[in-house]
Amino acid sequence: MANILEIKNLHATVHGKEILKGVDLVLPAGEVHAIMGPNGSGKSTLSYVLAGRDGYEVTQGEIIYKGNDLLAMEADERARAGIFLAFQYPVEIPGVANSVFLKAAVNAGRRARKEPELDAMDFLKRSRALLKDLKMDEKFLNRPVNVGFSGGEKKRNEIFHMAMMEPSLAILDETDSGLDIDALRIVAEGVNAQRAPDRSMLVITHYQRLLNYIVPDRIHVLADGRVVRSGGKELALELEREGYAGIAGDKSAA
Amino acid sequence: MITRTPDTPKTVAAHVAAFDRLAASLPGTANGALTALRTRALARFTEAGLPTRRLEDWKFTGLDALTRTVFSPAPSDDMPLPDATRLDTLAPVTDAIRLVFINGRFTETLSTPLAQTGISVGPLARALDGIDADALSQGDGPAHALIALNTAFMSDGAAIDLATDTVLERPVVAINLCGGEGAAVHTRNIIRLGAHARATVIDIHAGLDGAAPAFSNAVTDVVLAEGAALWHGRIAAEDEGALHHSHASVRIGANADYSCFALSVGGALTRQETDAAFTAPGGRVRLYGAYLARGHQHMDHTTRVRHDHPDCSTDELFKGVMEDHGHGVFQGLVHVAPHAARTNANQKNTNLLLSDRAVADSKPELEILADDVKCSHGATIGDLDPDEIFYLRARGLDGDAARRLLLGGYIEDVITRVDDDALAAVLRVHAARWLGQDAS
Repeated sequence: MANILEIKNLHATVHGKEILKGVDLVLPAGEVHAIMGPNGSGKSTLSYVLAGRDGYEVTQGEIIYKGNDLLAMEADERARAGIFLAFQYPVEIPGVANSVFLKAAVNAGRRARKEPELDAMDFLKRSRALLKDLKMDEKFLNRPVNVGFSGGEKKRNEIFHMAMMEPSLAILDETDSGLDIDALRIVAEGVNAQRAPDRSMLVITHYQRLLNYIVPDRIHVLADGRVVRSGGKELALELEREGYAGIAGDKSAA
Repeated sequence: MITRTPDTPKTVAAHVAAFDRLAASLPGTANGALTALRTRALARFTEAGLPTRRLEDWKFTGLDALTRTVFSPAPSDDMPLPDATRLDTLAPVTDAIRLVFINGRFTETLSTPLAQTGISVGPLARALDGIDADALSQGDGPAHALIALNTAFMSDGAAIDLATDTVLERPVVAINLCGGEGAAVHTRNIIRLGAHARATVIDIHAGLDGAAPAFSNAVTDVVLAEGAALWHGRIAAEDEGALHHSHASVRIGANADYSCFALSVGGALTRQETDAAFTAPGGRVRLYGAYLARGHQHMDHTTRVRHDHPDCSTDELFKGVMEDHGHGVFQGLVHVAPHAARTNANQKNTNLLLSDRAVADSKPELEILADDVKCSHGATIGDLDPDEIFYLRARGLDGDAARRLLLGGYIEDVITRVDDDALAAVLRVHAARWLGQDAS
């Protein structure tokens, strides 16, 4: 199976400070990989570098997405090419209805892929079905993007966007943070429902808890800007037992 | 910015000459008190001259443009009439009572037949012969020359006079079109709502197709009796190069409710003033607005609210977007007198500067002389939020689409406070048109 994403010796700086210090990672099509690591290990930096955020400067290495040089693409091009970032802190956009934003986003991607745009009826039909799965009220379509949403509602809205956008690569940045156990289960079910042979996911999390619900094919441990261990789903349990200190110190085993 | 005194003497002399020439032909000549009022107003204008930047109120807005052209009251007879499409474009409201004024004169053929409007809504000029002249002088401050000029020359405007408990179901839309080389148009609207009466009045100012840009100087007097409620929309969508000044003088009775949205999307120089005062306890004022300036446009929103009675509230939000060399001004004064206990006042002004050369001046001001009050104010000037732009781009919108969506949302965030559907719809159309022209 082809690789959707290949990260090779990736170094990146934020405000001149090196955060990523040689990340190597391969994500085959259709697989779900988790990236775990302590605070400050570079998990969120990696997600922003993949999404193309300004201010995150790659100083060395490369990222190949579907055989193309990802770093040559602007943030919006990447999104239209099928990369989706579920934000750790979804941004509030006063005055812009969730549906207006999402429809513009979905159709920007469809135009880029030369697929027919969704008209208002199709959009509404699909939205309603997905909102129901995520146990979200339809009123979330008309409310301004994330404004007045609770933490859990914001995260569910991200997963709703992801489902509508049908990405090839979804990056979930600490999607579990701030969720209670019920919300976590709903979000995880929403994510699992979207697992597909043509969709890969990078699930970034600090806690093992999320991986009880979203079971990854592989787990990578990031520490001090490098992948220090990779392994199967059982690695999460080892992390739970021994903590990051034990694993991160054991670099020779990586 | 260079401060210099406009060439007032020449301008004043031109207006005096115009008054001598035209006084006999102004509406309401049968009303001696009105004629006397006009004459006094002209004298006050002559004495004060045009406001200059040396006046605190005019610090950020100069009227030099008014002295570069000699303006005098405009003819209307030989003006080409706009077609219905243009009127619908300006005011897409089905079921409105529409009053159309061309260069300050009522144009019956384009308006809702007066037989349908009822006696409470119609053109002011027809009522001037019998009107109580005192009703026309409430906005005349001691030093406001442009209001005095309007009083001297007022030609026509919307007159809305609702009896107690009358609810006007249809919104009144006054469309004011003006144009012509050196044309000055002095529109006067009068809105009086009896106790518990309710109405929505939308006042739209725009240019006449094919005519040179003009000077529009509109004054609206509003009196709300106990428990009355008015939604007042004011839209300045003048042509490029036009000068627009509008002033609303508002008196709010016990538990009455004055809500206003002032939108500026056109004109070379636009200033919309609101001067509101509570005349009894328990009233509420909501003043909202947006000013969208590009090119070399200058847009000024100046508000004053006087709390002279207890238990009244004011909520203000004005949002500016300036690009190119656009210049936006917000001045807001809330005055709370010593005995105006339990006053609740919020005042907020935000500005987006989308180019290095755009300018925003903001002066929110609270004068609080009472103790038991809740008041807040704030102003911000900045650019679009990069976090918001990134969020939209990370979902596939290109930079331009993201910027457009955010600007639309920024403006919608204040329009959404308008709980009158017809007015909100008209505001959205004008704001969207401004955003759509932004193809650069």
